[in-house]
Amino acid sequence: MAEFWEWFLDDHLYEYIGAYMFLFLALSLFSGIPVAFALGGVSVISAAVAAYIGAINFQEFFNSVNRLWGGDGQSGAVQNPILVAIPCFVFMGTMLEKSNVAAHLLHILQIMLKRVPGGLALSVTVMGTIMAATTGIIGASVVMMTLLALPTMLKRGYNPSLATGTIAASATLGILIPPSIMLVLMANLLVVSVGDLFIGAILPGLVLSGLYFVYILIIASLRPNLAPPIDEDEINLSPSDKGNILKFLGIVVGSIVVAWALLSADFMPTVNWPLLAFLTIFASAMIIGRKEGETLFGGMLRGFFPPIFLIVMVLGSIFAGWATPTEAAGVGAFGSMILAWVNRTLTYEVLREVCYRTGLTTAMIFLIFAGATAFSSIFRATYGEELIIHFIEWLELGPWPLLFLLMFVVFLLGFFFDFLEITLIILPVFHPVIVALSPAFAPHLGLDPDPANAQAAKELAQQVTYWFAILVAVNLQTSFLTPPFGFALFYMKGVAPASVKMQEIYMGIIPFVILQLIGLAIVLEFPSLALWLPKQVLG
Amino acid sequence: MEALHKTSLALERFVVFIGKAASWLIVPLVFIIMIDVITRKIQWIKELSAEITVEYGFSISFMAQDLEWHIHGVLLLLTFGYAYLYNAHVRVDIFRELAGRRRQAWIEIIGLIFAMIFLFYMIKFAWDFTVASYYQGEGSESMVGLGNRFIIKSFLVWGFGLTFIAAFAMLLRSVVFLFGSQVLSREAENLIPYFTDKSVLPKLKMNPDGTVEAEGVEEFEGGGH
Repeated sequence: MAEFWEWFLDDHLYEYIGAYMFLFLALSLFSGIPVAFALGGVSVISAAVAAYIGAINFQEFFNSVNRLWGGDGQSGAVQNPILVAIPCFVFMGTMLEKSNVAAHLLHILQIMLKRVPGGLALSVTVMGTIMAATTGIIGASVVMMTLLALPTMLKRGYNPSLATGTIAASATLGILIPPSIMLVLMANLLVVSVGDLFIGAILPGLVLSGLYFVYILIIASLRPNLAPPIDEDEINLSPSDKGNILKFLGIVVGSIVVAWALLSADFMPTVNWPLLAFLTIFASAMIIGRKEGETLFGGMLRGFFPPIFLIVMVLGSIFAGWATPTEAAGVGAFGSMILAWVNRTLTYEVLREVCYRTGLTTAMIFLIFAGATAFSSIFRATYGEELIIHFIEWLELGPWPLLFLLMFVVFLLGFFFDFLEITLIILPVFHPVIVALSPAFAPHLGLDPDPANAQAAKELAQQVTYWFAILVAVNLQTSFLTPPFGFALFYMKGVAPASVKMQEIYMGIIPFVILQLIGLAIVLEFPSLALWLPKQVLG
Repeated sequence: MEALHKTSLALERFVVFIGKAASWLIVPLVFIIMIDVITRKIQWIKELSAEITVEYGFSISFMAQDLEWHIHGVLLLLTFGYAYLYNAHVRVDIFRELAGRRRQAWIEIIGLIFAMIFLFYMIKFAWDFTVASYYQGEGSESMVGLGNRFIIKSFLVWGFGLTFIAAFAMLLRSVVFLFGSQVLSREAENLIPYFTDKSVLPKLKMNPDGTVEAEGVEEFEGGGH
């Protein structure tokens, strides 16, 4: 027995402590204590054990504070300008939820799509896509979209499974289509540019949204009883005022012409004339939209302009290079306050609630960050990463089977864990593996680097990293929908009418998870979906 | 037990007060970013701030950028404990759901003991980290931003300290729930946020004008005994 212990502590544990850390972590996660506490507890206990058997010095634990702090341009949490974007994006999403922007957008989309089969479901998908480009969190959008769309769809006789699946999947697009806090975290962990990752995620996000759209269109045409059309006289609109339409068109054309003229005349070059023109158009759209009231034109102005305003403010300023993603997040948060103010929902109570919710969500994200930092510090100090690389070498898989294996692992973990844990714990472990394999993927990405050229190899590794990050991001879409721990389902259950059974929600997400996997396969097959646009925009 | 319950309540109030106050920091953060972005684009402000840098040795833009992550750091560190007390931290509830309330409280107590060991070492090393920064006289990397780095670094200590207090408050409350007299136990049970049968999200409904309100947040009956 004593011999066994000696062997266990000195040889076995000394070598495999990293593996035991993962085992211990899995056990404590499933106990249901907060994930961050489980991570922290496991890391401190493992550090103590490792120090006892002499594998590391317990002082290594100090590294987790150091790495949590940041400041070296790497992946810290506090002294890190990149992550300042996260509370701002959370604030923006939560504020938008209170600002009625989604309600106006859905209203006009339902009217415009009322003659199309499955019009209500399609309008939810389109709204999800547009709103996804304005918020970076999903909790708020799932709650919002369920409240807005589900009662109407059920009243119209929609199949509850189709209705809930559509809403959950469309709302989840918010975390993939930029701006997205998940992409900010990924860029931070992988030490790549947030802007590039944002731009890279646009086309894959649109591919997913397109897949949902086509699926709903097909199923609603084939089986109209699942998605009955709206009655013609359901939504009564008074006719639009021709004078207002002309006035608005005049303002649009006028401000574009004036901005163009001032720009080409080089008049006061420091003033951003196009932006000023855009703001004029937005303001007049809001004023005329309110004057119009319940007409098609008024609805379009009030429905489409607020999201366009935010998209231009946030994504536009990143793409045009006016602002870093962090600054764009601040500008977007400010923009969401303006939209709430325009829609007259910005009161002290709303602001207070949004601030508190922002504080809670930010704390939730960053405490996991702190726990994961402690865990990975100790894991690294005990040579856990080498252990994983040895294990993968021992598997003797080619690059493609290995990539599939990693994707499968992410998909599988998505059943139990949420994107935060997977991103923060798994991504840093998988990343070196993928970088090591990057030469094998070069032909697939259409690159042909000279092996002797270190610069080209670095460039290749970066491209592969972007592609891999987008693949994981698309893959993680499933983690929100797959039971038993699907974030979107959890939020949806909280606000759905009592008549909707959990079983129906589970049935509803199956086709959408399959569509997401098809989307993943498409991005796997065509990496240029993720890599082409960033090159075009940023050169 | 009475004393434990009272202590737990007082500690909770303290942590939540600070957490809520810190949550408000998002508003100045957004405004500082806005001001920074706008002023950098305007010529005469750029010239003025360049003059200030030459004259007094600090840069407004660099200070604003330092201030942004300072505020972000304070915001996120001081809300950790608050979020724990509101049960906002993610959990994996698959198996815990199967256990009764008393067993859930036991699991939480064990988890909290581990968490408090972790938090204790985070506090200790964060303290070393802060002290080292103080003795080095560490300032801004850019030399023209905010100095006295040890102040913001000390928030690591305060943040984990508050989380420790929050964890301790919940530990006391769970103990009162498990071992207190019937009245106290019941009172503690109603204040514990982490039971899986307690709905985290209030049932919401939407008014015709698009505003959302909580719909009859039910008084839930204690179970699991």
